[in-house]
Amino acid sequence: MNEIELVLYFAIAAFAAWWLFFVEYRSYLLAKARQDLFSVRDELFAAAERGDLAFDSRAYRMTRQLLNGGINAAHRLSLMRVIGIIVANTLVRGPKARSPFAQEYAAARQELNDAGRKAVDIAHSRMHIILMRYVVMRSLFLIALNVITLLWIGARETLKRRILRNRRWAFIDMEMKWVAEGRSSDDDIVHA
Amino acid sequence: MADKKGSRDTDSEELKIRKIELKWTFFGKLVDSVLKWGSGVAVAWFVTEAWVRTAGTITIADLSASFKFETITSWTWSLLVFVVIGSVAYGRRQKKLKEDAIERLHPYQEKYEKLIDPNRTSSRLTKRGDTHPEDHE
Repeated sequence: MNEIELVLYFAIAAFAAWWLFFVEYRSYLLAKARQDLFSVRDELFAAAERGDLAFDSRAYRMTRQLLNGGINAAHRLSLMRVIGIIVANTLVRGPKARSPFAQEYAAARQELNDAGRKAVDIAHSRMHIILMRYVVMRSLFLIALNVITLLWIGARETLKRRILRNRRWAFIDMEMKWVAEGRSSDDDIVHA
Repeated sequence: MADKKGSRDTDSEELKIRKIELKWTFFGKLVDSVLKWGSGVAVAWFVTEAWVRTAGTITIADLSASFKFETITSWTWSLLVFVVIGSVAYGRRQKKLKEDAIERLHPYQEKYEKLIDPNRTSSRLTKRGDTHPEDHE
């Protein structure tokens, strides 16, 4: 392979990687997040259709409103925006204050029976997971952080499982027992 | 009266929050744009630099020789081009099929859901499931 071919390979690969991440991959992530949110919304609708909660209950309306907002505005979500929301709420309302919407939502949730509350809670928490996963996966910084964390956890677990908990290391115990009983020592072995 | 005042306070709080949020969003978009277009420019710069460095040592004759038939049809080239173009074409085709299916089936779901819940609310995406032009930032 001559130098020109090398440069061409590099150019194709570099532009392909750039385009795949910033255009295709992000567009795929958005479509997937929306698809997952639609699926959550459908499940909530099915729960209401089964009679777990009423279509005109406040909690159903508000959860659906949240899901619709998530589907509609997912393309606007980013790491900086999420940090901005947290910072703005902390600065204006204080670190532990709840927004009027959150208070109203909690009150609306209390009006439901157990089945309805469960349906709403599942939809609400799944929405959070889907949107946070979208924010993490579209950010280069968070992907890198994720990979490092996973590698670190993996290495730590492997170390624990393979080395610290491995039964093959039991021969050390045997050796220590022998030494403690005075049955052998390094000097005995050297002078044997 | 007290309710009105409470509502005004909430509105003013919301406004303050939105203002701070907007600043962070603007900064985030700036960082994202710098990363996106900066890395694009960096890639272009590396490629140009590599090209310029080889330019002095390679003549037009070498250039044309490097594109000789045997090289272009080599296994590596064929496989690379096939995989890249094939993957992109497959992905695009699948996306179009998915959007066609959404456009075709969505009205039925909407009609059914409205029969059961006449006050059904919508996500306001387009009929093909894309961001509505009015909702673009």
